[in-house]
Amino acid sequence: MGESNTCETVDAVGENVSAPKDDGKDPGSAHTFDDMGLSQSADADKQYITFTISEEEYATPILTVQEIRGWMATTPLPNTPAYVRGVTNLRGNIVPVFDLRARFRNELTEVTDRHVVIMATIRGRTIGLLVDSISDILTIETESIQPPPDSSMTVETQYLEGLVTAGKRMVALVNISKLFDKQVIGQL
Amino acid sequence: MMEDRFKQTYFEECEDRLLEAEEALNSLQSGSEDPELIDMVFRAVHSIKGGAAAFALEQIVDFTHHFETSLDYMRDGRLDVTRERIDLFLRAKDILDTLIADAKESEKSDPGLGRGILEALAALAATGGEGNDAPAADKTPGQEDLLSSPEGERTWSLVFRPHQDMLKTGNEPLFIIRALKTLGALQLTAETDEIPPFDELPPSQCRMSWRMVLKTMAPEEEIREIFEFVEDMCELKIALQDVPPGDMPERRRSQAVDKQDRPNRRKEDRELKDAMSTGSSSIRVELGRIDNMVNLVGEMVIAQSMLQEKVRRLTGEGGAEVIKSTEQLSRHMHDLQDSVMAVRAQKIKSVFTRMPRIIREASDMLGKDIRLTTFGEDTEVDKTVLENLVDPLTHMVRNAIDHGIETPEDREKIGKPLYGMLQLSARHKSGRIIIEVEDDGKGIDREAVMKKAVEQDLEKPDANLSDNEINNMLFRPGFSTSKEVTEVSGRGVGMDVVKRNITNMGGRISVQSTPGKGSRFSLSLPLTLAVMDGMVVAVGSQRFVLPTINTIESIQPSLDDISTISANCNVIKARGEYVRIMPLFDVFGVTDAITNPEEGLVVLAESDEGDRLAIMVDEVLGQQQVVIKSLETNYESVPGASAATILGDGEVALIIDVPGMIAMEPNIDLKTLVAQNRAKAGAVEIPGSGISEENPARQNAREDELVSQAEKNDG
Repeated sequence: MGESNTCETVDAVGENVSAPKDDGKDPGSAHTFDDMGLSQSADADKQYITFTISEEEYATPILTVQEIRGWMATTPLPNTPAYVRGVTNLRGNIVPVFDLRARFRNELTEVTDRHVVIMATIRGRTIGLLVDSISDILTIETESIQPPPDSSMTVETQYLEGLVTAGKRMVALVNISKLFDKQVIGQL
Repeated sequence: MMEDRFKQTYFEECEDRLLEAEEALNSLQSGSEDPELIDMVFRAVHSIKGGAAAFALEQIVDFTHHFETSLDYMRDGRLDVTRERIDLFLRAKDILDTLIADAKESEKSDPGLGRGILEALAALAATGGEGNDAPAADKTPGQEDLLSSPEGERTWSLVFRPHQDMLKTGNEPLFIIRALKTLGALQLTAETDEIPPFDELPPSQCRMSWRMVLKTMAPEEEIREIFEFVEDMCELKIALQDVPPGDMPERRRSQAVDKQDRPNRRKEDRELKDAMSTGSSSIRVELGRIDNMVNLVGEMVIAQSMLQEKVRRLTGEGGAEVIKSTEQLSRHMHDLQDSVMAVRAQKIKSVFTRMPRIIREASDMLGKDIRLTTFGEDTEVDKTVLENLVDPLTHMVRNAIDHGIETPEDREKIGKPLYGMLQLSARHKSGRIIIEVEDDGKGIDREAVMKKAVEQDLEKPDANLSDNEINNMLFRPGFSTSKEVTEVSGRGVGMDVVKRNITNMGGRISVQSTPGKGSRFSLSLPLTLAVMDGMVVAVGSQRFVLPTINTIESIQPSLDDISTISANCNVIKARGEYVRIMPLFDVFGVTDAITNPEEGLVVLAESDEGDRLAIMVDEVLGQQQVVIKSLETNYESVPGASAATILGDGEVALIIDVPGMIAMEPNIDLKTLVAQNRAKAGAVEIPGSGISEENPARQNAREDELVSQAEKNDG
């Protein structure tokens, strides 16, 4: 019971539910992907959500994404790398927010209303990823994923799972579990 | 899925039943002769068996079956209640605990688990079966030893008349009949009188009944077991046919067993079930649901205070009305929060009931005689607190028996009663729960403690310590006074672990002791781990929460009160002693905070050990109850913070870990900093001023503080 009608279910907290196209336009609202019933489709594990930082486009499996939110104030934490923006309140849960621009390009994001935070759940932990915007949802077949060039696989870039081409764009697949130093957050 | 849910409920019920059983066994052990008690244990074990059979938990069924038999004999007087037997039952109950815990985790239990106990139970059952009351025991069906049924096949007559709606509960007569067939040769006669013409036949009703003749080696118990789940939904008669001819009294006896004994028990069971289904005095709710509710209410409280802040700015007549309504709403909201928290509250009884047998085991091992009294068993406290209390309390009780109470011989020599008194008590006191473990033993031998502390290099020989300081040495890591390590307590890990557990919960432990008269250990714990009283302080644009329990006072220091004792360490003289200053802005790297202590405040804080620290902040914003949220759920622990909370405006604030901060090294010389800043020309604006303009929340908080200050002054 309750398996077939997930798309009808409204998040208990009453988030606005709208189509993914609107992402980024209305950063104040949150879209819960479960609500769209995507997780029920057979191909759900091939679906990726793509996001941008500057001109670059990255992708992460849609099943890890819990919701997209607009930027919310964070409380800074002491003695952490610059990419740890601090912790925020996600419906009563304390969730750390990481600045992916700071992680990838070593520069802090100057947050505006247009920036969004991807709330991802990995091994039971929820973390926020601050990115410039959400751009697309792609279905990616495993065969079309190219390995990243060997030379780029330094410790710093181990999070790169592979590269795919979407239209004319190159999209880098990111493994969130490997994004951050184990010293900073373990068990991701 | 459905089955999982039923299983879940079953395991929850098992836990309750086991607790009941333990409680009853404990009462029996301490000499109570209430016949109802053994019956209670029987019912508990019986109902566990019933459920286990339904979920095919064979090991549990097997074990409870033998357990039940012994209990059955004891309750109808075949077996005397003795200390040893109750002890055996208690141990059997322990095994059952393990079996059920394993089953709950879907793990296979070690098949050898409890083998010894099982054999002992079987032996006991055999004693009961052969019994002192031989004639009755030997020939009463179903009451004899199950393991070594010496008699051969017997013939039973059964009447089975299902109630019409038995099928609706999913019970299928065919399965029952098939199960009976496995016991032996079965002759079946169906009674079809009740079956209406085919076109009037309601397919969902059972209109058939059966008469059966069963030839089997199996005892009555086993036959009844097959009907376990339908016994309330049918008319069932089971009688032995092959009564030795001419032995009428026995026959009557067998009928008597059937008509009186059995139906009585079933009736009790039914009453119990009825009470459970119709008695609406309590319901069982999954803990996750309650926690979810607690979270949501917490969120509502936050949303409410945000609303209130916005509403406050409304003007005009309409505004006043809205303000009034929101205030009312706010009161209801806090009531709601309290009520929700109360749902999680449980009686401390569930922890106290575990103690009698711990006492018994420990005192048996040490050859001591202990009487336990408990007070305030109905005192309620949050479930999480309760769970975290079991280990420390167990340890404290063992400790009291091992180190506190003397052996009967020693007690006799000094004219005390032979048995030692141990008292457990619980009560509420100013929003906390106080739990005390008191014994009338020899008290703390302070000289020995001191000597040991010197030996273990924990203290200098010439240290001049107060009695209280020496008492508190018991809580030092690695400290142990016992002359030889005993099995019961004292492996050098002990009271320090207790203390750590208690401190982790935001509690305190203290000890009072009179040599020769006894000791009293007191625990003071928060009623819930979910909320706590905190002092909200501002440091630059950030806010932090200091646990109120750790704070003593806040001081507006002058630079003259502050001295530098080493390169990066300042002290302040407060209440007659020098206390290290720890500036929060430095610990948390806040760049827009006040750095001159004269312009800020220091909050004098104290750890449970009594170590003090002066925590420097910009200002105190107010006191409030905060909901404690773990940082580790989604992130890692943060040095200097024990947890986090969500403030009225929805922002996260870290809760300061005072003991953790005491352990940190200060890293900044405030005096030099002030001098440097002054040197940088007085024209530079001091960071931290002018913030209130941008942050209405803080301004309001400050107003609140003023109000609460005023209220305090009034009081």
